[in-house]
Amino acid sequence: MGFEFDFDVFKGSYRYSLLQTFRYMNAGFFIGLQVLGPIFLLLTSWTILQIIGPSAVTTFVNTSGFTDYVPFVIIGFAFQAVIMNAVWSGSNGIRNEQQQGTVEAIFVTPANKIAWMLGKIAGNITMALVSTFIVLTIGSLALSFTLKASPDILAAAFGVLLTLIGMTAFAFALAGLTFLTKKTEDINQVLWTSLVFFTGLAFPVEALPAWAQAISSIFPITYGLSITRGAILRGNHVLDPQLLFPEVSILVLTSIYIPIGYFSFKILFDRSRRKGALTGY
Amino acid sequence: MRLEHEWLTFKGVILRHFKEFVSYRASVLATIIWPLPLLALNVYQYLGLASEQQVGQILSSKYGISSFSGMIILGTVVYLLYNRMLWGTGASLQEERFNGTIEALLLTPANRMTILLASGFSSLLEGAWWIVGVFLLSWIIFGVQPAVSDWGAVIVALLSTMIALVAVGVFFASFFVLTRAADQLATSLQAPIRYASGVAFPVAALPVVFQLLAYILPVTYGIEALRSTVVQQGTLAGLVWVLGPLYIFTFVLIVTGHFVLRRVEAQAKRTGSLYKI
Repeated sequence: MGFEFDFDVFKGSYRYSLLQTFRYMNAGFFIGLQVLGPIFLLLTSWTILQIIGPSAVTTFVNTSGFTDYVPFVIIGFAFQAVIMNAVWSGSNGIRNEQQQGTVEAIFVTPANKIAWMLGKIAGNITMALVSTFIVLTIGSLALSFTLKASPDILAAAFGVLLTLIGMTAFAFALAGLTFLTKKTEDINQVLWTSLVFFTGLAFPVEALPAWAQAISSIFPITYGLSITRGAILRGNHVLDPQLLFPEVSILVLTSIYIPIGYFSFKILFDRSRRKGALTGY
Repeated sequence: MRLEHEWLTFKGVILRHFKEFVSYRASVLATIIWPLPLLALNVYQYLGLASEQQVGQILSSKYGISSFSGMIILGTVVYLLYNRMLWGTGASLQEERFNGTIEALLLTPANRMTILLASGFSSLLEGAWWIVGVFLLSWIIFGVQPAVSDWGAVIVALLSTMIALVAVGVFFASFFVLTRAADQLATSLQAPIRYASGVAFPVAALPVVFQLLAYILPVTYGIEALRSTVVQQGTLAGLVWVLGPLYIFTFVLIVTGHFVLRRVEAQAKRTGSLYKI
């Protein structure tokens, strides 16, 4: 099969994934999980800030190097949808087809399954970007703060782009696991809350114990957040030495997750086909 | 109503749920560890900002809370149980619809309320680990020492909260059949309820508009009752103002759930729309 055919598969799967979000059956999930979810977590952090008092946030100031917590946490929770989509998109893509009884039909077609899966993930990641924008806008309008430096939009966009690529690779690595575990909802619940915790959406990862910091360093979004926060809150540019480490780290992680995702998906898919367990519960 | 039949229905539903639950090892594992990241997130939303000592002092002086981690842990446990009820019991009839078995189920002479109550009870059993396990972990990791002066009050608070949460599950189950988008509605309400019920802080710390919302949520009273008895040396007499509204909610939710379910079932059977997703 040629590249053109694979691209058509990708495009079809991408379009389906986007349309599915806005259909009657799914629009509420988007609002609930990707808009209200991060906004209320943001409100939780804001309320905790009001309890402690903005002048008493010594741990935050000492570990993050930033002085204002509000924009820090707005940027953090704006990325929550990226986490949710990375965790759910791949596995749900397969799981939904299993539940609807269409997974076998899809997998007997000559279409490239990798292109099909990438299309699904890309569609979800695009929606995550919409959610990121909504949360950033609502957070910035509802909670008052002043930026200390003029943001470098190019570097911030670069940070978001790298995060999306890195998390797509991560999502791909997770997708194959669905063939193995079947019922993924409960695992995904654990995964997304763990990622929200370890990647420092609500607080600097430097405030975590060393073992937890080591875990947070394996997720691309930890570095993506670091780049975006640096660009918006400190005005760091793309080639700024302060952004060099997170930029290199995210690229290295992406290059690791892509082959892991590709091969694990292929191996687990082939295994479940051999066993005849593609649709098995 | 024959008690023997009700018991058979109750037992059958519980056994079925239990078998479904243990069939997926990954689900069992996820159920066991899920509270940990949630708990850790709630705790570090404070500790990422200020030291534990500072946070403790502030909460004690502003809200009279002596145990910061105890406050978070109890809030998280009640919220987790509520969540289990919502998606275990609340979504149970919706799940039957998705599986294509709702018509068969509602053609049987089994008492619908018994089915739902059994479903709620089995969700509680599945979530029971959270109560025991989270307290155990809190003691090991955070060194949380309960400040109990009346164990009777703790048991009453815990049982009342659990019964109220079962009532929430029963209500949502009926409501889920009524509207086909109820699971989306429940998803959308999840985050506001987590925020307004004071899982991570006392309700008094919320903006006024959310405090009003808090007092119409049974979860708020469950959290309040357990916090009061487990970490604030509350007694049974002092619980009256918390348990009173909780019992009223329990009664209203069960009765409403019962009538909504009856009405919806009759209507769906008349229009032949029970199976429609």
